[in-house]
Amino acid sequence: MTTSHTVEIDRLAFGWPNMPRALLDIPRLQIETGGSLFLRGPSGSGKSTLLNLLSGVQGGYSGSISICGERLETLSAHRRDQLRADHIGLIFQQFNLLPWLSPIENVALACRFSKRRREKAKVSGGTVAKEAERLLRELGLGEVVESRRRTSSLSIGQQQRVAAARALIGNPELIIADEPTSALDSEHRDRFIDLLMAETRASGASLLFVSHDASLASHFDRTLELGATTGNSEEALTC
Amino acid sequence: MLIDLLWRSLLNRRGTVLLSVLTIGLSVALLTGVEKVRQDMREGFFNTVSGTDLIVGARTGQVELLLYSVFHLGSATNNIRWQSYQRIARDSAVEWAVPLSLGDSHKGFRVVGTSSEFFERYRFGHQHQLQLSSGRTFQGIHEVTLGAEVANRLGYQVGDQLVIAHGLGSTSFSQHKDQPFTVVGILAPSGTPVDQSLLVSLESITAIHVGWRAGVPMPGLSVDANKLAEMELTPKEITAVLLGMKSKTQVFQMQRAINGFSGEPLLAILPGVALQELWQVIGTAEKAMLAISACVVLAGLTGMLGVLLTGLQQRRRELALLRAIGASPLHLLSLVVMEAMLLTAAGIGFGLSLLWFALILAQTGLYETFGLYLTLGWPKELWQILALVFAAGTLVGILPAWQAWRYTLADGLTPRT
Ligand SMILES: Nc1ncnc2c1ncn2[C@@H]1O[C@H](COP(=O)(O)OP(=O)(O)OP(=O)(O)O)[C@@H](O)[C@H]1O
Ligand SMILES: [Mg+2]
Repeated sequence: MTTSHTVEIDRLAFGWPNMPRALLDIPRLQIETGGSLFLRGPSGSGKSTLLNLLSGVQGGYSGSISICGERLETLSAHRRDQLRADHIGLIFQQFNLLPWLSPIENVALACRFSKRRREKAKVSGGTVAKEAERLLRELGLGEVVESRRRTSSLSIGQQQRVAAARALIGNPELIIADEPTSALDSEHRDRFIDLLMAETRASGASLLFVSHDASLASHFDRTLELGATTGNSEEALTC
Repeated sequence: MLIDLLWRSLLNRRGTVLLSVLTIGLSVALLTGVEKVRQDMREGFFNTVSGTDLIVGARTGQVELLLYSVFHLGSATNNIRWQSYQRIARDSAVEWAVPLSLGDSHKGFRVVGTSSEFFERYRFGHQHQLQLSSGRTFQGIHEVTLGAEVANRLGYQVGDQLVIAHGLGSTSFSQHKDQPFTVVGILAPSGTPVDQSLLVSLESITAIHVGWRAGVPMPGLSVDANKLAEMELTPKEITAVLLGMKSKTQVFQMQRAINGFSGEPLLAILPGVALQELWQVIGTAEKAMLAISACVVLAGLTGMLGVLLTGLQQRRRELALLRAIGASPLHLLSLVVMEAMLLTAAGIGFGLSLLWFALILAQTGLYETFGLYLTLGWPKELWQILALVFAAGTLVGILPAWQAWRYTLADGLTPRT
């Protein structure tokens, strides 16, 4: 197995039991280290489903998926959970944060299930909390840190940046963002994407960015289109 | 490893959490409280006549003898001759003998004719002696010392006069009107049948029956007090005898001797054995009480189940999020079970402090109103009860945990709410 690819998909097919035909059918897809992929498709095209497959919480597919050189289908459920904790940072559309933890605690949460990321965060920031604070500052949330704001009092844009800091802490190899900007206005959206791109690049991680908004494609190295009802993808795709 | 997260999450939901801890606490307090009352009642019951080695009466069943001599329920069919009493009392193995003469009453309360040694020998609970709350014990004839409840219910005070009725009915027509008694003392509550008794000397009993034949006053035969003082008032018959032996080893021997007494058919019983037999009959009520309070605990736990399940619906996103950062379904399952365990444990803690507090408060009140003496202490077998409640609480947590498991598998990373 080569390790220069963070994600490698080979002849992947997946369908929900109640569906007449396969939802996903991807002959080949690779994201190399440091690369970025824009995953586009209308609602119901299976974007979130693909992310569930990649992060190892959904099985039952044919073909193979490798994350950082580990083939998911050969791993136990427990090892897949560990792989996700160690190598993948996730950002969602909404509800990214636990409102009863402070922003710094929310960021530090990602190190809780991963010794690897905990150690890396300590190397970089001294302690996990300091590293979380550093990332928040870098993402323009210095004011949030200083004034000890409560998580529930943050604006949506601020919350998404806290979520980005959590995905980035401990330098995971793959950042997956599932429509993280759909609740933001266009100005904040572009700022968020630029920031996310810069930080991912700085940490050397690969980025998988999901959206149904085609206008964002220009930010990324490559684009993968998922069809609405036809379970397909255009061609073998390498980025 | 998740315990601090759980703690923060619980703090965030403290309203409902507190409520369910409160319900569990209340039900635990009730359960342990009922058990405590049950045990102390039982203890009190078995120690109604704790200092007495043998009870002697005319031959009858042992429960009947116990009932009429100690609990003043029912009446003796036969009496003991005074000579028989004297022979038993003078036996070298006998340390003390207290005669009892029953058969008269006052407004529904029994009059007990006895010797003044009764006050010294009668023991209840853990060797408690009867205490006077006011006045003194009876000495001469026509003096009466009242049990606490008699004085309380009928509103008597030291110095008051009362008339004893012949027989046991509260509306007995034959009153010993010509010989009124003076209240000379009132006893403190003891939680024993003594509370419902009027204690007089054996001589008083004899005196009020002078001039009576077969339960009715003979006209022209009534006597005045001056004459009575000169009369020989030793009774011819008594109802029962309480015996204390010099050595416990002689109890069985004495019992055999009395049961084979040549003068007349007598029965001697060991109070403990007879009480045990009686408890078999009345003990079921306590078991029912316990069963009811166990149901209350069940209701409390069901309340917690509700709290857990509704909380889970709100926390579905939380669980999905934890799953996204690497928590396994097993982690989340244990989180929910742990929550149930924590709530149950907190409820138990609260319940126990509530019980202790209630015990301190209720101790004197219960004693004075019901004569129920509660010791300040945990019920026996408390650990078994609490372990059972804790196990039930954990079991209750399994259901929402299983629900959480299903959610996490169905939701993947994005909760469907
Ligand atoms: N657990 C499931 N069981 C059965 N069908 C499912 C399940 N999850 C998703 N689906 C179906 O799979 C299809 C793709 O869903 P998915 O959430 O991946 O779409 P999406 O591209 O992320 O859409 P959106 O842009 O709205 O988020 C939908 O038709 C959906 O109903
Ligand atoms: Mg989606």
